[in-house]
Amino acid sequence: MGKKNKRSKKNKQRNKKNQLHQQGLEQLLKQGSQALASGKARKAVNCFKAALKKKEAAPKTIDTIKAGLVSAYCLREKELKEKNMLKEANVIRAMMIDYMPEASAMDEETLIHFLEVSDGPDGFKAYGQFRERHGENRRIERMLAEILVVSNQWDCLDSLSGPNAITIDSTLMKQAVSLMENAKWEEAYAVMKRLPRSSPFAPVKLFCRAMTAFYENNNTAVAKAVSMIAEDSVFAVLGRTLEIAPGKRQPKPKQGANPEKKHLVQKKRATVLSCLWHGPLYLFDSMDQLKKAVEKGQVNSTTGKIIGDVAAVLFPDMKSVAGQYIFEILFHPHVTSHKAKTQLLNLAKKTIGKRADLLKAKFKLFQGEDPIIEAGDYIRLIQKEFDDPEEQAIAKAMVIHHYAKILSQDQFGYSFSQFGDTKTKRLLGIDSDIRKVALLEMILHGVAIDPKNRALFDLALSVPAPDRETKNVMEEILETMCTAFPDEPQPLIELAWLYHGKNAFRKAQKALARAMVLAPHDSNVIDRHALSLIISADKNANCKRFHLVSPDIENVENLKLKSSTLLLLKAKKLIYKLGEKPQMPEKIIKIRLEAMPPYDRMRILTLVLMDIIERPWPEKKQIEKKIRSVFRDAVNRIGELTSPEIADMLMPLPKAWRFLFKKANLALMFLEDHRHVFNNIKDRDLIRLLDTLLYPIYYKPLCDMLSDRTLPPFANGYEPGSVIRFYEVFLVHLSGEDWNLDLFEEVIEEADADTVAVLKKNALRLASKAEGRLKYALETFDFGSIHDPFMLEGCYDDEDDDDDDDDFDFPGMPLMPGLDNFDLDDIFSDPTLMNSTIMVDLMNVILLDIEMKIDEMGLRGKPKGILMQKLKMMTDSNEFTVMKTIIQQLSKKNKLNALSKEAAAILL
Amino acid sequence: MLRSFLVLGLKLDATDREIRQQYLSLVKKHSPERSPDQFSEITRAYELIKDKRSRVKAKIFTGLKTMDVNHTLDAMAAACRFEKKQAGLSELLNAVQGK
Repeated sequence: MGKKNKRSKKNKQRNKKNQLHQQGLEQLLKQGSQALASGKARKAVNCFKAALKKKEAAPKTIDTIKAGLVSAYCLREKELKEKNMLKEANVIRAMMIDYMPEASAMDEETLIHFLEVSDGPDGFKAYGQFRERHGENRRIERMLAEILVVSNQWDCLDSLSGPNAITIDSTLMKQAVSLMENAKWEEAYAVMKRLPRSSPFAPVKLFCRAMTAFYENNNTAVAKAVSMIAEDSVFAVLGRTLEIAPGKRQPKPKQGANPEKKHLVQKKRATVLSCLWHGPLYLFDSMDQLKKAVEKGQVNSTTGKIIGDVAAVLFPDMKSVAGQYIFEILFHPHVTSHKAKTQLLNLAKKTIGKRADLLKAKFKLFQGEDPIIEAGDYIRLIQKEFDDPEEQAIAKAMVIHHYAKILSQDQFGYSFSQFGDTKTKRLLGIDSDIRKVALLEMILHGVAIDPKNRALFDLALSVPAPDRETKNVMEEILETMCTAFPDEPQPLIELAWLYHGKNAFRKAQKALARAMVLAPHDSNVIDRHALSLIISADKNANCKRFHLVSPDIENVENLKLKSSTLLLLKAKKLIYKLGEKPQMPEKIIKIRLEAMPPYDRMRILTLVLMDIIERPWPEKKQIEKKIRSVFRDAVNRIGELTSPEIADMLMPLPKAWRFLFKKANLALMFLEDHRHVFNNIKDRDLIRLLDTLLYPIYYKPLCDMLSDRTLPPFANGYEPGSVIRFYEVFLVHLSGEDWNLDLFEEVIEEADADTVAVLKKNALRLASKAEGRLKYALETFDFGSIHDPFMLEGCYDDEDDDDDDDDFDFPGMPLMPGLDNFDLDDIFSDPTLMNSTIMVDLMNVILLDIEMKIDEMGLRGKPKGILMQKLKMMTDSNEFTVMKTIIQQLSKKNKLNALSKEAAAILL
Repeated sequence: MLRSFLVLGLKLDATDREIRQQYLSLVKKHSPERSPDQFSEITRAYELIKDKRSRVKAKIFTGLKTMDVNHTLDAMAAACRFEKKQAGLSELLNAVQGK
């Protein structure tokens, strides 16, 4: 078949040639010129050769034909050189020289072609002859000048007789070229300064100027010089490269350009750039390749090679380290399945060697199944990542912090006895199986390794220490903190408060005294010191040791107190007075308080009432009755307070006061007995207050208060805003009063665009207090799409009132009952069923339900082990197994919605 | 994290002293008045790796917390520093002629 094609091709060519020879001279010349003009070198050669064979051609015409043929051969030689076919190009050149007309007979274009491909001396000789006939030609002289500079063959000038601009400037130029060879561009430019603009060497001078400006970082001067170099000069090409910023994505060659030429242009550009710059010039291209590989999930040796090359270019001294971090960046978000992990780690082993173990351990930092084991695994490998012992200690503590934080957020009580092994637990400092104690032990171990790890201390302070065991560990942690940060009063304050919790008042006082020495003017320190003295006074007051109360109170009065603490002090003084003299008349109490501003009065009374309720005095009831009476009167005058003042007054008490008041929820007292007070709070202040009261104990009372507030008729021109209504609906759901997400939509529909934006912000904030579907709805601000998982269009006929229809059962569980009766083979073998929108919709809705269940149960961000443990009831069912298999199949075809990390952990 | 070292032109095992010196030298060259964007970039990079603690944290967690891979790769490439080489005429001409 090949031979047949070759034969027919030859025949075609022969026919073409015959046709050509049959044409007239004029026509051949015309076709040849047209072919030359359109760059068709071969055709031009054939036309001119055929023309040359015509006997009727006159000598002058023959010269013209030869000139055309030379041009055609020049063009062809250029083409072959561009294709790197150098042998063939040389053959063409030899043929061209055979047909070379006398130089005197050449026109400008032919001579230019000749110069492009000839040796120096030949070119100069030819110009000499050309010049005799046609006179000087600036363009050709410029080309000759370039030839001299490029080839450095100055003896070519001997072939050019007579005075000429090239020879005149050549002495100067030889000196300049010598300097340019040694990269002394500034000096070379200084030499060439005397050259006139009309000099044939002008492009060289301009290029030298551009190079000088390049090294002076003067981009404007570079651009100016380059713009003045003639386009056809080799120095124009070089000059343009100076303007290219390295490391950026290279400009693509123009559209329509020959692809081989494109590649050559890019290659030349790249080679020139590498002469001018040190650094990773082609990094963007490599990065683009990596991005594509990640997009397509290509975990193969090519990707591994690119990663290795990039790492070597960026950090040649530590390429395996750099390679490891690149792997982390590229693949961590995408590694969800076991198969993907294995593939990736195998590739990593080939690319970065032993550091692949580190990669494996680090992936688990965010995706693991057993926090104890994973923490241990990474800590054992830490020496591979960090050489320095100090860095190793810092790293270990950080990893401990990372896992301790995860465990501290677990609402269900991570079972320390079920996970991890004894050896690893010992590595992490864990002795106890009790979660809170074990958590604190881990933190203690972390701070022992790295006492400067602030985050560990902050984490410790967020862990409740309700009993003796946890308090003891906390004490060790805080004492370590005090030693690690000897100039800071805060650890001492926290330690003092721990001591108060242990009823170790003297220790507390000592710690605070130390804090006072460190920061005598720090208002927080002073405040805590004052509170500590008041705590001491309180204890004595409880035992009616009022003679011991006075010195403490006097000490407090000598301190510069915050306004809130000052009011507390006044409240306590009143209480102690009442304790000392329980018979004090109500009138006297009123007189004492009357002189005070309304806010102070109300605040003090509130604190006194909350205090007296908890006092162990025998006269407690008597005092309480008087206080309640005065309190009632004061509440009736609540209008004397401003809206912000009332809101501030109702805020929960500061945590630091927990040893002074058993209950901090004074707002509850008002909600239960004096709800009308809330009518004096404007919406803006009320929202601020509500945000501090979103705890279960307040849900129902707040819900009732807001229901009253938003129920007409409204007094004093009040109109509840959309935000308050939104909060009301939110609390209706939180309190369990109702479940109707349409209520949110009603509020949103009535609001204008600006208010909707505000509602959206509030919804996002409130979502942190919600769970499950409500949380999802608030986060997405979509209250309409959360529907019952089985209410699919086309699946359920709303008009069918047949209660006996048992095609779809709705047990309320997030699974489709009866699913385990499906024959999986039947399902998978039926592509119509597997690809049907109903099946895909059904699985997507079930997935949504699973996601919400994960939210509802607060399992977001939990490791796989905990997910499996908490969802065991669901995952153990046969229905789940069937559903899981269907989902895995559909996932492969990318038909399902994207899974969260947690859902993927249990389903894939 | 890698980007910080690239922006500052440092090796991965640079010490606190080397990092500080390089940072000071770069901000002198790229002052906030002259090159505000570069100054911000240099300062951001410095803050991420200025001491052992910061470097350890960056080395353990930064890679794993990357969400926008494309942006990170581009940023790393853009952060690479280049220095000019002294090139002579023959070298340049040979390069452009493909020799």
